[in-house]
Amino acid sequence: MKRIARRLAGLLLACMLAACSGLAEPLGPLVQEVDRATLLLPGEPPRETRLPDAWERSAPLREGGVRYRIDLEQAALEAGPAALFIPRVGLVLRVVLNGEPIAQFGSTQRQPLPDVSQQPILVALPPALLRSRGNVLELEVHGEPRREAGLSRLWVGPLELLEPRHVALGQLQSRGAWAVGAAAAVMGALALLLASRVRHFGYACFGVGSLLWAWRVTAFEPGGSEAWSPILAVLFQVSYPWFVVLMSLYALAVVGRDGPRARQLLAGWAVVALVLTVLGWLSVQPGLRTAVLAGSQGVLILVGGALILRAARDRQLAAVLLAVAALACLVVGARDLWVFRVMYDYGAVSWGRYTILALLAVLAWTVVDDFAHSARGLQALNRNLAERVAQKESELARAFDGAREREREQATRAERDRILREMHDGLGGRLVAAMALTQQVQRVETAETTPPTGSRLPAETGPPPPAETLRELRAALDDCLVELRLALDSLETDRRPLVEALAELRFRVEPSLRAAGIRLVWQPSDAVIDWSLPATDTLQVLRIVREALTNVIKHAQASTVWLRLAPLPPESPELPEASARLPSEAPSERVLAPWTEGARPEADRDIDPPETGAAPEAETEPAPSLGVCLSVIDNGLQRRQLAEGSDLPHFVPEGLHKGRGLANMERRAAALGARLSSGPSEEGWAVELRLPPRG
Amino acid sequence: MLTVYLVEDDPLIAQHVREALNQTARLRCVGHAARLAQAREELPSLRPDVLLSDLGLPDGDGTELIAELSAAPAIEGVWHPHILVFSVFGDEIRVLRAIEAGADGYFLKGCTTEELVVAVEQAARGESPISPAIARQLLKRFEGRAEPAPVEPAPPDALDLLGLDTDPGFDTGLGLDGPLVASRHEVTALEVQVLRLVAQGFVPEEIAERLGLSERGVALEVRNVYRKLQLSQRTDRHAGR
Repeated sequence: MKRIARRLAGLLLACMLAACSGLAEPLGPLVQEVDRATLLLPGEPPRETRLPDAWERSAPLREGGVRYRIDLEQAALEAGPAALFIPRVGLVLRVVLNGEPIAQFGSTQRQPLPDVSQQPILVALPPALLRSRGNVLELEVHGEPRREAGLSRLWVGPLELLEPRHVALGQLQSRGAWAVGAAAAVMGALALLLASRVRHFGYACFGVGSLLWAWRVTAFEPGGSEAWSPILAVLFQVSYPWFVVLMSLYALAVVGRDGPRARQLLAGWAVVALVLTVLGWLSVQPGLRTAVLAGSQGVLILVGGALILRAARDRQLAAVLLAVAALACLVVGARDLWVFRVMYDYGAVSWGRYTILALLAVLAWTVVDDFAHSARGLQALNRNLAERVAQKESELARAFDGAREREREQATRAERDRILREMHDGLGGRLVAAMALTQQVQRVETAETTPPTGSRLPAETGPPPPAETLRELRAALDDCLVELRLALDSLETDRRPLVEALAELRFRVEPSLRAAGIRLVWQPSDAVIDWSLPATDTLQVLRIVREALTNVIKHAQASTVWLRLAPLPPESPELPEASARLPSEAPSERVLAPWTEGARPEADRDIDPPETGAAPEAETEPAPSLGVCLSVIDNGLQRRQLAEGSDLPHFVPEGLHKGRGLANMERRAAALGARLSSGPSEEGWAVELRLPPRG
Repeated sequence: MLTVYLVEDDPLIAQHVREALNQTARLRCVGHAARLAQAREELPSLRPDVLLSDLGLPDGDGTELIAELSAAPAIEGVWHPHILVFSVFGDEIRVLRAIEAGADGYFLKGCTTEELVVAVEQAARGESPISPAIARQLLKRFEGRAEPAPVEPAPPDALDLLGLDTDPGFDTGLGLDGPLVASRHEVTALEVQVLRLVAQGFVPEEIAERLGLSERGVALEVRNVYRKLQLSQRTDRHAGR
C-alpha cells in the first residue's frame, strides 16, 4: 500500500515536471530571448528595466500606459519570417515596430480595461517594416492599480520556432485549466452528494473546496469590468487560502484529527486570510497578499506534519496518501510562492492549480476504500445478523414447541382428571352399589341355606327377597353401562345440540322405562332443536335428567313420563306454582300439540282426550338466544293424590325429598348456572331445569 | 325358522345370547365362533339367515369378516346373511365402519332377550335398527358429501289446489319427488328427514306417525340409507379415494 502511494506521488510529480519542462527549454541561438527593456514612462527619462516586469511589485499604483523599447537582434530576424512571442502581457497591449503600430490586444477606450493577459501572444513581424539593422520594437502596455498588469519575458525569432511554443502555452493555460476545473467540479459535486447522504463533514469540505478550485482555475478574468468585480477579485485571491483550509479539514477528517480545536484554528485562519486579502486589495500592498500565501504554506506545513505523524503511527493508507499529497502541495505551493511572490515572474505558469489532481486521486481512493470497508462491514454484519436471526428463530421455535407441549400436557391432564372424576362420581358409585347388592344376595342365600337358629335374622328386619335384589342389581349394572356411555359421549369435543344428547339418553334408558311399564312421551320443541351446550355441560344435564327418570322408575309408580325441551320465556323466570284446582287425568294434549309439531292430532287420541290445561305460549319462531326449559313430568302418585282430594297431604316422592338424588341434581344444576325446581304441578310431579341463554 | 350364527369371544355373553335365541321357537342358533378364522370356515356350510358379530375379536376385527361376506358374490347365488353388529357401546365410528363394510345394523349388548329376538327378526326382514348417534354421524357424512334435495317437498298453495289438508304424512310423502333426479348414491329428502328425527330422539313408531309411514317403512328407509353408505363406500374405494 505504501509502495503504491509512493509510486502515485512520484508519477504525479513527474507529470507536473513534464508539463512545465517543454516551456523552460531554451529555444536556440536563432531566437532572441528578451529579458531587458528600456522603460519609457510619460514625463520621465527612459530607464533600463528587467523583464519580467510585474507592476504589482515594480509599480503597484501605476495607472495608464507605459512603453517598453526593445532593440531587436538582427540574427533573430533574418532566419525566416520573424515573430514576437509574449507568454503574458496585460492588461492592454499595442505593438509598434520601427514606429509603425502592427498589432493591438484590447482597447483603452473601455474603463475598466479588458485583460488580455490570460492568453499568450504571438505577433508576426511584417517583413516590409523591417530594416536591415537597428530594428526597434516598442510595446505599449496599459494597466490599472490592483490589477495584475505587467510584461513577461519575451522572445523574437523565426515564426516556425515560436509558434509551437505559443500553441503549447495556450493549450496548457486554457485546456489545462478547463480539464482541472471540470475534474474538480465533478468530484466536488460528487463529494457534496456523498456528504449530504452520509453526513460526513470531511466530504463536505472537500466538495466545497473542490468547487471553489474549479471556479478559481477557470476564472480567466477575475478582475473584470462588472460592478462586482472587486468582490470577485478578492474572492479569487482568498480562494487559495480557503481551498487550503477546506482541504486541510477534509484531510484531518479522513484521518480522524479534525477535533474542534483544529476546526477553530483553520476557520480562524480562513477569516484572517479574508481580512488580509481585503486589506491588501484596499491598500494596494502586495506584501499582504504574499503574507496570506505564506500563511497558507504554514497551514500546509502544520497539517502535513499532523498527517505524517498520523501516517507514521496508524500506517493507514489514507493517512499516507494524504500526507504525500500534502507534501506535494507544500512543494508546489512553495515553488509558486517563490516564483510569483518572491521572484515576481509575471510570465510563469502556476503549478498550484494541478495540486488538486493529487487530492482528487486521494479522495477517489478514500471513497472507494470507505465503500469497500463499509461493504465488507455490512456483509459481516449481515452474516452476523442472519446467524442471530436463525439462532433466535430456533430458540423461539423450541420455546413455542415447549409451550405447546406443556399446553397439550396440561389439557390432557385436565381431561384425564375430568374423566377420572366422572368415572368416580358416576360409574364408581354405581359399581360399589352393585357390589353391595351382590353381597346382599349372598347374605340372603346363606340365610336361606342355613337353618334359622334362634332369632339371628328376624323376619321383619330380614333382607329383601333375592328376586328383587337381583332386579335392583341388574338396574344398577344398567346404570353403570349408561353412565359409562354418557361419560364416553362427553369425550366428544364438538358442541352438539342438547336435543341430540337427550336423544341418545332416551335411546339408552328407554328399555329400562319400558321394563318398568312407563311410556315416555318425547316432546322436544322445534324452536330449540339447535340449542347446544359444551360437551361437559351436556353431560351434567344428561345426568340430571337421568336422575329424574330413575326417580320416576323407582318411586313414582307412573305410567307416562313427559320429557320436554322448550324455549325459556325470558319474562317468567319462576316456576309456575301448582294450580289449586283439580287437574285433568293426564297432561293436556293441547299443551303438547305445539311441541309435537306436525303430528296428527288423531294419532294421540288414544292417550287422553284434551280437556283442560293452560297452554304455554305458542311458539312462533325459534329463539336460540333464549334459554331452554327442560322438564320431566310424570303422572305418578302425585297426580293421583291430587285427584283424590286436596285435603290430603301432598305426597312427596321419597327419593326426591331432600334425598341424595335431589341434592345431586341441584348441585349439578348450580354448576351449570342453571336453576332446578321440582314439585307438584297440575300435570303431575315436575322437575324443571332452566338453562340460561348461551352466548 | 330363522337360523342365527354368533361370533363372540366372551364365553359368558355367548352362552347368554345362545340361550336367549333358543328360548323362542322362531329362532335357532346354529353355530358360534370365538374367532374370525372359525367363522370363516363354518359360515359357508352353515349358511345362517342372520349373522351376529362382535367387532373386537382375538384374531382380528369383525369388520373384516363383514366386508368379506359383503364383497363376495352370494354363495351359490342364494345365500347372503343379514348381518348385525353386536357391540357394547355402539361406538359410532366402529359401527359406521361396519355398516359401510356391509352390516345391516347393530345391536347393543346388554339389552333384554326380547329386544334381541325382535332385532334379529327385523334384520331378517331387511329392516335396520338405528340409534340417534349413528343417525347423527350419517347426517354428517351425507351433508359433507352433497346437499340432499330440500326437505320441503311442495309449496302449500299446490296442496291447496289439490284440495288436500296440510297433512304432514301426505306432505312428506310428496318428498319422494325430490330424489328422482338424484343419483342412487344420494340420500333422498325423506331419508334425511328420517335420519334427522332419529337423531332428535324420536323412536320408529313416532317417526312413522309424523311422516305418515309404517314402522316397517321407517326401518326400510334406514336400510336404504345403509345401502347408499355401502355403495358410496365401495365407489370411493374403487375411485381410489
